[in-house]
Amino acid sequence: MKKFSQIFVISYCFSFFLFQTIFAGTVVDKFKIEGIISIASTKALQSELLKKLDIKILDLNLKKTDSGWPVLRIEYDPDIISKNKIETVIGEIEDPAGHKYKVHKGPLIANANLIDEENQAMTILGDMTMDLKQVNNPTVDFDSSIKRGKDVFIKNCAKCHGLNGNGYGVVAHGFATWPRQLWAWYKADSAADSYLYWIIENGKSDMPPWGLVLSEDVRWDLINYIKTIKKPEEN
Amino acid sequence: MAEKIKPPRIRVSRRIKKNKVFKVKVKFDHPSFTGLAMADDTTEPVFNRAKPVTFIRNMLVYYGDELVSRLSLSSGIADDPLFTFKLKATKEAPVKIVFIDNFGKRWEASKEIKFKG
Amino acid sequence: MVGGLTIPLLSVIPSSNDAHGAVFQTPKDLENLTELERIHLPKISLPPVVEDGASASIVCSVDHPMDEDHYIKSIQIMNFADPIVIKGKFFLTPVNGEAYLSTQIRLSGGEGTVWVIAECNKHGKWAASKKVTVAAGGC
Ligand code: HEC
Repeated sequence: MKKFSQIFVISYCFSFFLFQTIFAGTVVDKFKIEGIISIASTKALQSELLKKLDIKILDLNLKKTDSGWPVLRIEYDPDIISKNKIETVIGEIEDPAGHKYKVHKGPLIANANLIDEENQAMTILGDMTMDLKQVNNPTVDFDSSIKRGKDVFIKNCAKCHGLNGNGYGVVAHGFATWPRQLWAWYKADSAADSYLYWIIENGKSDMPPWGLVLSEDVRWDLINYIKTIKKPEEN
Repeated sequence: MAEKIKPPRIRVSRRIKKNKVFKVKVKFDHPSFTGLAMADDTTEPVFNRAKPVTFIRNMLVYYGDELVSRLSLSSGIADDPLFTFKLKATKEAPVKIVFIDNFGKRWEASKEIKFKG
Repeated sequence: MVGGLTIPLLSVIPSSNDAHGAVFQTPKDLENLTELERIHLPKISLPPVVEDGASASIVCSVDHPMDEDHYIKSIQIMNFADPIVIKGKFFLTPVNGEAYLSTQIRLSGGEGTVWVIAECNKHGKWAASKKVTVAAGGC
């Protein structure tokens, strides 16, 4: 009995050691990638990278990322390859269209703050008036409204507000105003409706006036859906 | 696309009469692109981010000391745009046009308005 | 280069009239505009077929007086199907004399609708749109 447990402990330790050397040494890192312009890009980047480095590519997430930039997740052994080396190699790979890829660095939104002159001009000539009206949410069947709202959101709003509502959609860098985190409205009560209704209908700064192209029913579906957007858990 | 950003250039009608409306054209060789691409158009949103963006953010028009117009812009504008708008010749004073891009860089040009005829 | 561009003035009558209402006013009958509609409806000049979506010439104007107490406050250009929906918004004052703006915008490929909203300081927001086909998209 004693002998058995000894062998057990030894073999357990051994297998633990083995496990450590093979798996526990690897780490997973995320790389924001510049230069992905086509389906061919996504393939070329991954296959060239695997040819050049002994790594494992977990996935390439094009649109549903925290920053709006495509993210490549790579598992590698830092004792063999450094993060710097991976970045260098990514920067050496050529896209089929001729340009090289690059690991994106820098702040989430690269646009500089407004300068004083702009701020001043915008108080004289800008979107200032907000004529909020009393509104009543006409929704009867909330579940189906929220479901419809989600589809419309993904099609029309996610490009700016992000698929998860974090404000960093793929195009959020392309204009002056940051679209904001919509999860501020999670579980908001009807007191928020006047404002939400107004801004979706009229737009403001770089928020488009959806009242032009989306019917009132659809806009209520969106309001109902926005109130279900939850801040994702930190990981 | 402009290789180098050149200072904006203003052109106005040759004959400007007092209290008449005249055209102002301003050309600004400044790159403007969305930085977007379509690597997978099967899921929404159909675009993905491919490059950092560059665009002109604001155009401010002063006539004399007065701010008379503001054009708020985005990367949905073409490279090296030519903007044309109108002004009423209320006074002999410079028209000054200021551009600010998304990096907060500022350019300006101005043109003296003198009445003729 | 400045002044060297002339933009072909194609039809300036807006071709569609399918706004959802909301706060945006559109004419009841495009063929028979009332005086209020005539002076508020934005005119859009944009070729029906755009070869290069990276630079589509557009001219927007409103036949409205620019008086101290009655004038067009802004002209906004949009395409809701594009990634960058709002191309630009021009804020005006009576000193502009006329509500007019000409520029070049980016449009993505295929069929789309360009919308223009004009806002009057007294009579609210007025919308017009124009269908456009873009041969080569310029996002
Ligand atoms: C072109 C980019 C863009 C698109 C597309 C867009 N938004 Fe926005 N949105 C913005 C910006 C920018 C703001 C911030 C406006 C401001 O405060 O000046 C905003 C603000 C908002 C707000 C107010 C947020 C707050 O906390 O004040 C709501 C609600 C909203 N958007 C809903 C929507 C919905 C619903 C859609 C889809 C139908 C949508 N947006 C599509 C850019 C966009």
